[in-house]
Amino acid sequence: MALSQAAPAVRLGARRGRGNLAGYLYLAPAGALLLAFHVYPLFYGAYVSLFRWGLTKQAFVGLSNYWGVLHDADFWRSLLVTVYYVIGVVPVEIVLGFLIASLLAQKIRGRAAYRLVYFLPYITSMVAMGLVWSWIFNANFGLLNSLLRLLHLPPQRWLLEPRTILALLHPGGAASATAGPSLALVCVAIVTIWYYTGFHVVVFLAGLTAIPTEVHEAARLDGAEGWRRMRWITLPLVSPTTFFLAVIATIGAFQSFAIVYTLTGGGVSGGAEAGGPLGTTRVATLFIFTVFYNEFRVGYATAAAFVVFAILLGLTGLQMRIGERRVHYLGG
Amino acid sequence: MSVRKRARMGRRELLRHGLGAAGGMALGGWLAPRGSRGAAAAEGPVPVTFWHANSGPLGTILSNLAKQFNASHPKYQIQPEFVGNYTALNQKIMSSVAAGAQPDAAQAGAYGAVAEYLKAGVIVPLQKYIDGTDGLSRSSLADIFPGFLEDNTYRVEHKATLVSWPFNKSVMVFYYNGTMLKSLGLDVPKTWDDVVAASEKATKAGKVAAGMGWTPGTEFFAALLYQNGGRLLSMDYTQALFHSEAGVRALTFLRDLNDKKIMYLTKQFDWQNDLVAQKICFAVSTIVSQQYIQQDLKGAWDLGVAPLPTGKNKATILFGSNGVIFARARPEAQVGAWTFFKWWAEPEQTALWSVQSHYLPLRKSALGTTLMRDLFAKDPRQRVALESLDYAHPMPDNVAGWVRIDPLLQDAITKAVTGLQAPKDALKEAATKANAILRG
Amino acid sequence: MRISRTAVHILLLCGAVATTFPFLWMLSSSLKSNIEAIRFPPTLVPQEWLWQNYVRAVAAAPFPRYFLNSLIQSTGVSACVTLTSALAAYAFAFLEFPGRRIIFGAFVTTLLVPPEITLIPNFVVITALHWYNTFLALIIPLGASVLSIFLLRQVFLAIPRDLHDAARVDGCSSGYFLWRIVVPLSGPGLAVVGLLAFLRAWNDLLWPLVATSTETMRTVQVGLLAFSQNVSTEYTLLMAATVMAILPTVAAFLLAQRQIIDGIGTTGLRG
Repeated sequence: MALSQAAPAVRLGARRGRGNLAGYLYLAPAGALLLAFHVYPLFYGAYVSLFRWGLTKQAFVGLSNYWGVLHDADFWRSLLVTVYYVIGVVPVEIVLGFLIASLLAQKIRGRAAYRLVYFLPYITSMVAMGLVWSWIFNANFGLLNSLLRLLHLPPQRWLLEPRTILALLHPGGAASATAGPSLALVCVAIVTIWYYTGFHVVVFLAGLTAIPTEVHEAARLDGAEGWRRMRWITLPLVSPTTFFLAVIATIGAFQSFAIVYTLTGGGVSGGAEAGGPLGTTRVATLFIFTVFYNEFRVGYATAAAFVVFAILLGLTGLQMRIGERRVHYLGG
Repeated sequence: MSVRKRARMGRRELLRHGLGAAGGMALGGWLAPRGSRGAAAAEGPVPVTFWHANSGPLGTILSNLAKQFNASHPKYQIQPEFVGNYTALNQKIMSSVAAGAQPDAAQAGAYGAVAEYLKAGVIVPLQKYIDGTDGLSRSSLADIFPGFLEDNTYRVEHKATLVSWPFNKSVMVFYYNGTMLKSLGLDVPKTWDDVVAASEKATKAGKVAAGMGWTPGTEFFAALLYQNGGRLLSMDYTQALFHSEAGVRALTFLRDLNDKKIMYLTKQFDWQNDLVAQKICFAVSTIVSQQYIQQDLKGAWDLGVAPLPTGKNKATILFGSNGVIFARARPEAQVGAWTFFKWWAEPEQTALWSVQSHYLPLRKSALGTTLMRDLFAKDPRQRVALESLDYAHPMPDNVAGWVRIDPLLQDAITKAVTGLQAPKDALKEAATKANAILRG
Repeated sequence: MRISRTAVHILLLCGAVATTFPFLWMLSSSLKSNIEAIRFPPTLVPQEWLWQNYVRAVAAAPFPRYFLNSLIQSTGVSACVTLTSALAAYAFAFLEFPGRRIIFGAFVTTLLVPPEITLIPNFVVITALHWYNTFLALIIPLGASVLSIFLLRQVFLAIPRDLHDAARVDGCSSGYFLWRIVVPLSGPGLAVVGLLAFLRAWNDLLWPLVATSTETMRTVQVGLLAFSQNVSTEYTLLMAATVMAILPTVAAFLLAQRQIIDGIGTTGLRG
């Protein structure tokens, strides 16, 4: 075998011993970087959050930053906006992804081409495509308003509209800002869905095609057809994938920054303050970023980040617990 | 593929990656910008980095002026760098200060920015240089328009101290479509009632979609507030006063303008596009906008500039930004920056800057220069801004914390004008939050 | 659900059109004149194709510099990630050492730490190291990726264990085995990891935004955002800039799309 011919001089020695050291050595580069930039920040961040910290480190204030955050109406509003956003984005991505993948799973021609097309948004930059979408949503000259005009419908302010869709449809009614997501937030959600659905399609497709055809055959022989087959066979078998995507998508939506910032914070349709019309698109990450980067209240912003982190951990834990009970694995 | 070929491929790949990483880092190190402290200039001019927010043509004018300074002052070399708009500039200044990588001097455009920098102790009050060997005499200081100096004066250790230096100043004026007004037989509006009447006539005649277009901001509201006899903050900057009767009246007036379709809301510079496209015939903005509107017009119609229409009183708003010098800059660089600022405000330079950029000149004596006299002869509209200086109020940008209050106020204004909240409630809510911020 | 074949195609086609339409609009807008771009009714195919919009866009902001910066950053990150992930994945896949399970678990838990948490402390750290506004700040913090380790570990695990044992019996050191055997056999996997890391770094906004301050250090994303703030009414120039910004990633993607998509797909299979 080429291997023994190519091997250098035979090395004897405590193989197991060397194996130990070698293992740690190989892990060292990745481990060091992860430790320095992913683990250490947790502890250093906790330290920072206990101080009044602006351009320079000031006084130690203990938990007062956390107290401030938990009593900050703007913070809770940003969490509410985040919740609207996550609820609006994740289920739609998953359902759309599943439906499209189901269509693609049937052996149709050009499947690879479709897969490519659907996946395309995901690899482009959010900034670039965000700017394209802001142009489409432009309140004066954008494509959508032009289309509305062609249909003799009134133009909308899209990314600048702080009112909810309900309020727009019933102008007379008393609609408060917290009564739901603003049209601007809906627009941001649409762009997010457009961007990420391809990812769900690809993952679902892999999951669906991994289901052995024998299973489908057996089900068909048993008389399970169409909708019943979907509900009792396909869905349960693809549930690990669904679960995986649900967790990933939720975490991703909670941490979404670039799309929201480009559409309603730093770009063509936004103003100086990030957070869109009346703060109705200020998701939690944007809140943290604004407090950090515009106001430079570093300690306060870090405390807010930890609160969001805790909430996200709890949410993910909850999802894991639900998933454990409802996910079926093929082969037990 | 044979195992050997694969092995070669694998090694080449890894090698390429390895080289890529090493090369990347080496290149990165080489390309990394050197802070002014890094460049040890024993001989040769002292580099002075200056960050600013003047984009496009304004940036070019600034660069040219800097080159002029460098030529006449070979000891120093001003290096202007465009960083972004006022918000981006403020963000970058703050983060680079935190990183210890700040420039030597900068333009500070965000409201309250100078106050924040002063509070954090990262800038050098310019009073030190004014009182120094290469300073300014009393008479020279008196020649500078008083409003500009007031804007830059803070109480430092109980003494009125000049902390920053006026850099680019402008006032809010009123733009109108001269051709259209003439065709409708209308005079230039002098009061807001005139504006309302003219707008209605123009809209009824089908010439425009509405009289005015406005991108919501705090400045226009502030102008109206002052015209109604109110003020934004108390004299000692500890209390918000914009929710007074005067404020409610001002905001209600804005809301009514919007409701009666005398005015509609735009975003960013769309009011400019609409004015040019004759969808509106009036607009309120800084005098600096004149050149941009004129450029877009391409002579399609006559652009008129008038003082801001009056309400109960005459009042308008002073815009612009100031220059600061950072404490951690090398002493030679600080002196260089001060020399530049001083030179900037001298009659010839300030006249040149004003004539080219349409910002206001900083000194009264600049008005006597040939440059400025020629400008007024050619374009009498430029006088309007100067004449408005007498009753121009600055925004409270020497109040630390205004940078957080401004967005609050803007939200309140937007909500009230679009009918989402009553003006009184919106202002009260904003005032409560503002007071909390002012209390620190 | 038995839908007819044509119905399936129609649905998929509609979806495909909806997905690609923004790209078409972007291209179309980038070639229009400003007047045509804001004209009503809107046109899809521009009346004249103004290629000079691209020239003007490049002149209006230092895009070549932004591209160079992004290239340096993304290549650096890609190389770093591939290297560190290959080494780590090798250790997890082939080597025995105490605490291997725990350490692997620890690595995976770092995935939970969100960017909001790491952003500010990392900023403070790189300023203390004087890496602010340099390529070191842009590359090093992004140099390790647990997802890449995960992916490569799966790829390495596919290599038969016997090969490894035989090599050890022959006296082959781990390094030699990794370099001469594992790496060549995992070419595609390494390429996917490298490419994905490149794409992720190229498209990143938040970190380069915070880690750089001067125009000469901006990456494409940060530069594009700044450009959009400064030419807010020149929509066609902006669209031209966005086309240029995504061209490299689209090209890279099209070249390796099968591997990338397959790679992404399999991450979901492990559940």
